[in-house]
Amino acid sequence: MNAQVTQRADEIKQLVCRVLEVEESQVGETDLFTDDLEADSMKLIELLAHLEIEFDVEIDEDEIERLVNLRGVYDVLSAALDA
Amino acid sequence: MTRMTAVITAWSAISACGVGRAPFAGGMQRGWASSSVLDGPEPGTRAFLASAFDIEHALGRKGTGSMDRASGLAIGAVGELLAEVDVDTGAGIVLGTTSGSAQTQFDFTRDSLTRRRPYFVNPASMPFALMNSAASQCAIWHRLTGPNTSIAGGRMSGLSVLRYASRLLTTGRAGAVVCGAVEEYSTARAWLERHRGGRRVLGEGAAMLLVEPADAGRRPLAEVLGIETRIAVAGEVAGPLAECVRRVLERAGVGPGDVGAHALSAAEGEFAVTESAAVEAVLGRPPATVLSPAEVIGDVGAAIGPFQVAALLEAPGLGLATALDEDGTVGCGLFRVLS
Amino acid sequence: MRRVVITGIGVVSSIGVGVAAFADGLRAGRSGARPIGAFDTTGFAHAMGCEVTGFDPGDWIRRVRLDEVGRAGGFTIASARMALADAGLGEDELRRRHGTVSIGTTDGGSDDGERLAATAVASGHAAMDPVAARRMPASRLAVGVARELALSDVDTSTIATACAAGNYAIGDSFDAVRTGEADFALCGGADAMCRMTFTGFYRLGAVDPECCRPFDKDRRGILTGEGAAVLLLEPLESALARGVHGYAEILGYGLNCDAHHQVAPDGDSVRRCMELALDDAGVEPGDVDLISAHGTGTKSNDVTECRAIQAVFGPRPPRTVSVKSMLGHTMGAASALGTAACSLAISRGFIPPTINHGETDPECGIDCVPNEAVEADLRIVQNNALAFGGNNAVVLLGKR
Repeated sequence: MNAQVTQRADEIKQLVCRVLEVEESQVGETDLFTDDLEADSMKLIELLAHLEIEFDVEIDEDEIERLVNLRGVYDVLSAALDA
Repeated sequence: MTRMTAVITAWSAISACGVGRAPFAGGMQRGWASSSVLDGPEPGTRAFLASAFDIEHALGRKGTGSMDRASGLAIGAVGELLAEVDVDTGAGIVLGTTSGSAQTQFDFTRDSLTRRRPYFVNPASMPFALMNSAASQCAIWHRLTGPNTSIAGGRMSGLSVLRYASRLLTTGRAGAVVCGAVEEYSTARAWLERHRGGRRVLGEGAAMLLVEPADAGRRPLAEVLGIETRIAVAGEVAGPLAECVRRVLERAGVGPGDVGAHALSAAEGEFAVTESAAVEAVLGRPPATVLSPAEVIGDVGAAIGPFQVAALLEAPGLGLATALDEDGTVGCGLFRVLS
Repeated sequence: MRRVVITGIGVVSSIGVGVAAFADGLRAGRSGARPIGAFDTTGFAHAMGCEVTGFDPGDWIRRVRLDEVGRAGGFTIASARMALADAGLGEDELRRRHGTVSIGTTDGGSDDGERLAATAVASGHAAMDPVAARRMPASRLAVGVARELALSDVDTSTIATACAAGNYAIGDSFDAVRTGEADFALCGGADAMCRMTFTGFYRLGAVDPECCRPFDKDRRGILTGEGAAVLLLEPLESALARGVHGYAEILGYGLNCDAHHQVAPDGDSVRRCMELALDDAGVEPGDVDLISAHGTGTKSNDVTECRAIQAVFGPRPPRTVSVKSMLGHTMGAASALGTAACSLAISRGFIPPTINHGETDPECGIDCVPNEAVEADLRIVQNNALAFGGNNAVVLLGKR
């Protein structure tokens, strides 16, 4: 995992919870956004946009498929920051 | 030139007076509501904010993160209405606006222009930036699947939505219509109004009327006897407005002497003078009761129309609601308020 | 109830200005796509759109001050003047009747609004242009037509029901004329290119980098477009009394709301809207010869809409085309341009093609009349419109 992502893991989780409109206590690292947290495809696009804005980084649209859970978010963000 | 058998059977309001009917009726009786002091980058120093209404508090967190204030106010006002009457899910919603949420549109453009990439914007705010957001959000929140229409009518919105709703009832496209208008206060709106020459103290709010056919079975609060609107193509508005008043009375078979109340759309200044003068010219005297909701809740833009009707509902008998907009449209509605 | 006919059409579009040029463009399968020039597109990886070029509002506007009319307003007034001339009616004749002017729009004066926002960002709110602030409210679209034609005794409404607004305006005007409340209607839709709309769809990953290819297995989204269409509606008897045949008759329409999701259409609700329209028109699904689909070219719209069409019309529905393949998504103008295209298809006996078409998405499962127009005797045509917020409107037209 990218060092910045490790360091800002809590902040990322807060952002995810804000976008998905769920309480932080509800979200484990492997909970599925769509199946467990009722997110739809619009929410995932929103999440990708907020990650780009917060980290000032470009993430390929196809990466949405990997934004399945918190761990996926960390991976996608790490890959984008390392690129 | 609309002849109607539509009746108003329920209403609700959110404004600087508070949330619900009683606070607005109380504010109208008292003749004032509290305004808020502004300390942001606004052109004015105070505004009549609907401070008692908080979107997240009223509607919860889910679905409200990017919501514009106008949609929130509308959802709240429709919720107040539906809490008291049972409405079929096929009911329509017809809402008036000036330009939707100017602030949401402004913020979206600002983000696009100031961030490193022009597309580093919040996609969730885009549908809230559209002018149909308030009406369609009301449908989503309250599960109403009937005709769902947004009319950008400025201060004529109240009359426009009533006419449109009546037509939906006449043609059987809806059995009941939640009919209203909404305007939010925001810095962006305040500056646009200032540049348009507006010097009035702005307000915000939403008011809803439930409009049904006369035979729908619910006890009517008022009958909509007619709506007349015109365009002041020559620039002068007093004449066309008086013509609207004359014609709405004539078409409804009502004598000028029978009208007891008049609700104005403007709070002060030239428009209010014109509205009063036009009505007095036709009636031959000032009406017994003159109501000016804008003096109580501020300049609520497109939302003033249903507030005028709500104010008239407290004055049994025949009442007129007049409206003027800067775009040159003038109009008048005639109501029979039942006691 | 009176019968209502379309006796005049005015169009401003990226494939032609005026009814003749528009009809030729539809028949030729012309594409309006070109690099966007209406606003700065720096920083976007791609920026194709369907802009109107070579349009000068000064050619059309005679009464209203030009600086009081925004770009969409100019399109609207020009289209209204064209519709009037096309119908062979003079302004004086309109002034003698009570009428209605109803114009649909998504953005209204938002192109002015976003330029004002840019000024505020760069130089502060106090620096905004007051003239642009005054002409920005969307109500100016319908009111502008009345002012330009000096029509005092008309009801005006600007209907702001996003991307279905054109059909909403046409439907309401149809009712006004049908019930006798109005003796004519000028109705349609208009929008100008907006940076906000483009940016929003771009952010949603719903803008195609090259062209709009509805129903194609490789479709990638919309192209934003601009333009206007205004129709003149009259009662059949007054058209006949003037010896005017008209393009098509409006048979009915349907409106409903998904009440489900802001951006994802609900197929079952779209099906119900088509059924409402067919019922209102007294038409059986089997009698419909052509569907002009909403057909935006996004992954989700086209599949959802085609499935809804099959739910109403069965596994082999009537030919279903998307004029957005040529015009792009013109927002509030889209369904008005669609209804204008359907009227021309009926009166001139052809089906406009769905251009940019390679291979039809098997999930769509329709005959979209790929790439080339075909001759056809059309008796009943349906025009679909869907909008963000789940606002649906379907109009049915019949041969005169």
